Amino acid sequence: MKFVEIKKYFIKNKYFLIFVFILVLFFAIKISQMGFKFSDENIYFYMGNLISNGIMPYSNFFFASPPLQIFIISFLSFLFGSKLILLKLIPIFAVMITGSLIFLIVKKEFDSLSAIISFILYLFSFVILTTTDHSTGIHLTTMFLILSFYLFQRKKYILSGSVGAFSLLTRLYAFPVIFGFVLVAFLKNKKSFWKYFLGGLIIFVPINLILFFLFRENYLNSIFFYHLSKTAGISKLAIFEFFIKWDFLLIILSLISIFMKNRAKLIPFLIPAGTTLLFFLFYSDIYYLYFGLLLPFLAILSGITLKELAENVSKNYKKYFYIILILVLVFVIFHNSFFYFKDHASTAKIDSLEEIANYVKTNSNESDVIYGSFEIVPLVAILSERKIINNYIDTNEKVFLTEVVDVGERTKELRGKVKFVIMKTFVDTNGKIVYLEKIVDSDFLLNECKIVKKYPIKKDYQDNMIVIFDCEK
Amino acid sequence: MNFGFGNKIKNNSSSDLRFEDVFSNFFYVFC
Repeated sequence: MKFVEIKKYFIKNKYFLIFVFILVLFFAIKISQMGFKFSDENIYFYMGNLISNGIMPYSNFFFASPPLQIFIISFLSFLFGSKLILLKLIPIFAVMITGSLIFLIVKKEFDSLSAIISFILYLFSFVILTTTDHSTGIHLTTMFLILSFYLFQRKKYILSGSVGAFSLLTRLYAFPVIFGFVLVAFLKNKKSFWKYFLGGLIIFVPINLILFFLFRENYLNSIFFYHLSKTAGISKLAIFEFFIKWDFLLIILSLISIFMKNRAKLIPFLIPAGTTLLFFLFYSDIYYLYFGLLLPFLAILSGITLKELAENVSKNYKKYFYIILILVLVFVIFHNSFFYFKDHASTAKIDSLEEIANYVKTNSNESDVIYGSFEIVPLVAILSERKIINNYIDTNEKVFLTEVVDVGERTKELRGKVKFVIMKTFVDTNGKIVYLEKIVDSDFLLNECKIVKKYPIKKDYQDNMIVIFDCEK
Repeated sequence: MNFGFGNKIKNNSSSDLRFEDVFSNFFYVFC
């Protein structure tokens, strides 16, 4: 092939080639940093494992969300076998699919250039780079939501509604986005609205009725009423500040989009973004990872606006148009990846997981049970082949603070039965434990159990030690 | 500080970020 022909090929397929390059670059960055972390994901991995063994959520163990995510994990665990680490690919593939759908949505409604910009801004946003280190369910939920949007755009209204229902069956916090979609459908035409609504109902209602008849009030209490009783975990202002700081460009460009000439065409993206933002403002228990729901819309609005702005700026100097765009996008990719690597990629990694699992396995019998911090115990249980006592997997302190479970009662159940309690904590320079999460009575741990092992955590957001208590009588 | 990247933890410490920090990253990388 001659040079001229190669050049022609590249020019003709430039958007496709950039698309593939970005996808490969993102995948390579994420794969290079893959490892077990102190995270909610460990709970879901253990739960998926239990389901594979016929042990069901809501009746046999507490699970605070609808079941689709842990059933998907259960199915993938079956496929991957003992290669547990592969479950960490779920959020990575989910955002790659979401990004690709964003590209197709914008390409159909606008042009390839706006589409590729939106795609890059989405995958290399700080929210996506940092939160895809964890298989938390947010990215599966978002993938279903954006697939639903894509199908709606292709006029497959019933199917679109059904896929929207899958997002709700993954996490109920998909509702504000779905509500935005329903509003868009209603504004577009009544027929599409009813079809979307019907498509959602035929999936959501029967599945929830089956779950309700199987698990009765346990189901509703776990997925719905529990969340209403929660109070703020982290300062909402702090989370918003952090989000604004790190995805500043997306926020500014999305705000500018409201004043653009073509804003009428942006309404289908502005409405779901607005309903999601309202949810963040009014719901008490918000986390940074939840911004994953908002990101597709911000990336779409930003991509379209950035292309428009670059076009306006370079009206008289056409050659500067691509230079401006390339500089902005390269800056975003470089800047966000740099700070992701520097501050987050290696933070909260469980370096001594294998050692801990080996210790537990070699110092206990097969029938012994363990308990402790949800951020590590489920993983240790899987790797050491020891069970978590009474399937008390989700030991998030909030479960105790909302009085769903009483710490005293839980301690009574542990006394005389549990072999090891594993706690993630902070130890001062004198070796003294500064605090213990209120997931078990600390007097029980300090007076009735014995510290048998301490594993330092190299880099974490708040703690510096894993402590193993031997509580066997 | 953990803002909940992958875990819905309870954390009552206040923010240590300021809006002025927004542009500081740019200088950190390029200067």
